[in-house]
Amino acid sequence: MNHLKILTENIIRSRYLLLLWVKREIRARYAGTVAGTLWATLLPICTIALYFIFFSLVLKIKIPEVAGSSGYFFYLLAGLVPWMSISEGLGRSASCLVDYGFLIQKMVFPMDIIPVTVVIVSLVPQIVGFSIYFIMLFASHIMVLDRVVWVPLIFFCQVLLMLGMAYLLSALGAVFRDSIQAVGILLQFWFYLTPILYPLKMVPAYFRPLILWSNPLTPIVMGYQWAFLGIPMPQWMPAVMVAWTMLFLVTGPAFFLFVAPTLADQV
Amino acid sequence: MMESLSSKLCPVSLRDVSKVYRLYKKPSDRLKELLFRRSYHQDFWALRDISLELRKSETFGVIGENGAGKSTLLKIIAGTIRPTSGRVDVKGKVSALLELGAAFHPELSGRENVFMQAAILGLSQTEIEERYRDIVQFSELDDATLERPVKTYSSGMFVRLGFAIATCISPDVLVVDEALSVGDIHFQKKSLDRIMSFRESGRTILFCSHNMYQVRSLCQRAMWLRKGRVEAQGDTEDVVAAYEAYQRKKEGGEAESAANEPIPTETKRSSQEAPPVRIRDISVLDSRGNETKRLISHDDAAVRIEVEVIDKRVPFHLAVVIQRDDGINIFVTTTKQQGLEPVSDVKALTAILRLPRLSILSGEYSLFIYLLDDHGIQVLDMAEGVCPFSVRADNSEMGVVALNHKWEISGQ
Repeated sequence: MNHLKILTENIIRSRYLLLLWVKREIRARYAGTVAGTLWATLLPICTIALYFIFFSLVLKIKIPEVAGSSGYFFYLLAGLVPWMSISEGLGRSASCLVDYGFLIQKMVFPMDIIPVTVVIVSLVPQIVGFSIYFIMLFASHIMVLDRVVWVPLIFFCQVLLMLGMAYLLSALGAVFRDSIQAVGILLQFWFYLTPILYPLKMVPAYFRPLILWSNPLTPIVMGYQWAFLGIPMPQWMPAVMVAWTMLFLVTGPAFFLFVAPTLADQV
Repeated sequence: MMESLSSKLCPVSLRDVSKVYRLYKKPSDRLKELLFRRSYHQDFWALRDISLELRKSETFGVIGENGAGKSTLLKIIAGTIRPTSGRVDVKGKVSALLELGAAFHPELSGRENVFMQAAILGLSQTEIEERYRDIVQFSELDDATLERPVKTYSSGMFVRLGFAIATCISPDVLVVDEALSVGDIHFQKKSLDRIMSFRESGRTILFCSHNMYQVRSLCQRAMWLRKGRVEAQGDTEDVVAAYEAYQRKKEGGEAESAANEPIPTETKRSSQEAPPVRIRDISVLDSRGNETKRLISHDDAAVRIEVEVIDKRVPFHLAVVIQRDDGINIFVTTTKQQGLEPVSDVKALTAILRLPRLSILSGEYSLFIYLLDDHGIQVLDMAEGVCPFSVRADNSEMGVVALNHKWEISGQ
């Protein structure tokens, strides 16, 4: 917990740089394009539009969990929108320290802010996506309003979990380059081990505990599905969510600060 | 007790600082070491047991060959790398003129990069806004250029902006790594002036250079690093002299074979384009004022230097070095040393250095002529190893120079 405190203080101290850095990251990614930062919003909009056309208008897959012909579409997006941000955030955080090695070596750069920047930038499409999703749900009268109030809390948990993982992965990527490649593959498996494409009920019973208890992202995704769509989740799920978050918030910063002193030599 | 007190007052203090780089044969050894807590590497000592205290307001020189650990030392003081062991105390803001502009983001505009870099250096938003105009003015980039991504900048513009940012934060300690050779000659002058103004306003400067002349003229104290260790430390003159002696000894073998080759008669100029002043002609004159290649000891002699001034606004000093063919400087003199005002506002110039009753004895010599800026630091133009001449002593005096002397013998 002490490590977390050190990192928090460092980040607060460099908050102005963090702000500039986030802006720079977003702008640099779309620099030289005509639409510029508009792409940050276009991507989630187009993804949602594509899935809507495909799953609600063409295939009309029905699932018992959510009523109506757009049921599967809504189910899918509740998990897919956060997943896209999580997978981008984790994938990029593995390589972020190596990517900015030129800065770490050449300036007294507060590198604590780099993983934070990666997480913040990766969350932009999710925020846009969730806003659209929210409006569509509202228009379809599917949403359960008294549960939606929990979404910000789950989102908060997701951000903290991602931060913890980002610190862990970024430090690991710096000392052991192979992990950058490994994370890419890991994320592929991870996607199918998280109940995003399928409701948990479709999974054979003997397989369910693996998905439920060994995957730190399951509680987040199921949390969103519950809050947006009212799909029931095990009553222990919130506790598991908090436990995973705490675990990564402790180990991530600890490992990051453990390797940080030697990072300038390694990246 | 005294020591702790003195180190408290020192803006920079290093105690037994070492830097070891771990060299791994394979990347996986690094992970193994991390997991199994066993050694899987070879050590490379970039620095070993360096202790150093910079006094307030002093300019301290760091010299040594390439790979001696100079840059590592500067980076440790600048804070970009941490020492493996030992203590580093740096008080106040440090600004390092190392690899200027290296941290710029190519896609972002000059303006955005200024804000970013200044923020990395620890300035707040209001501080940056306050200093933004100064930075821009110093870099001499116009507003249209500053809105362009820095990837479109020339390397000179890059460095100018980097230098402007690095020095705008009014650092307490300035770390300079041969930054004097940045940009064009005009900007070199300007950046040197800024470093000099830091020096005059009592900032502490750590100065690393291969140019012994600059180290001698700028630094009060110096350190000679050799293979990561301190070979000598103390008054600049002692350290530089020891280093030069070492270099002569090291080059001894090479020099012997080179000794038979004729000394180049062509004027070698620095590679910079269009210097503001240029050496046009150099000649050695005998006692009657005629050009010659042979001088006689104890006769009057002179060196005549013709200078062409291209930019009248640039004031300059002259320096003459007489070097023997084995590379030993017999005599060095500059107009600055003599307390003369720098030359300015002339179109052309003939300078004559008179050497009455030449006290050099027999040998082969050549001249090194430098035109220096008004601080006597930056070389505007130079001609090295030119005008070879020989000196013959007409009596049987031996040695290098004829010293003023008198024998006093009293038998008992």
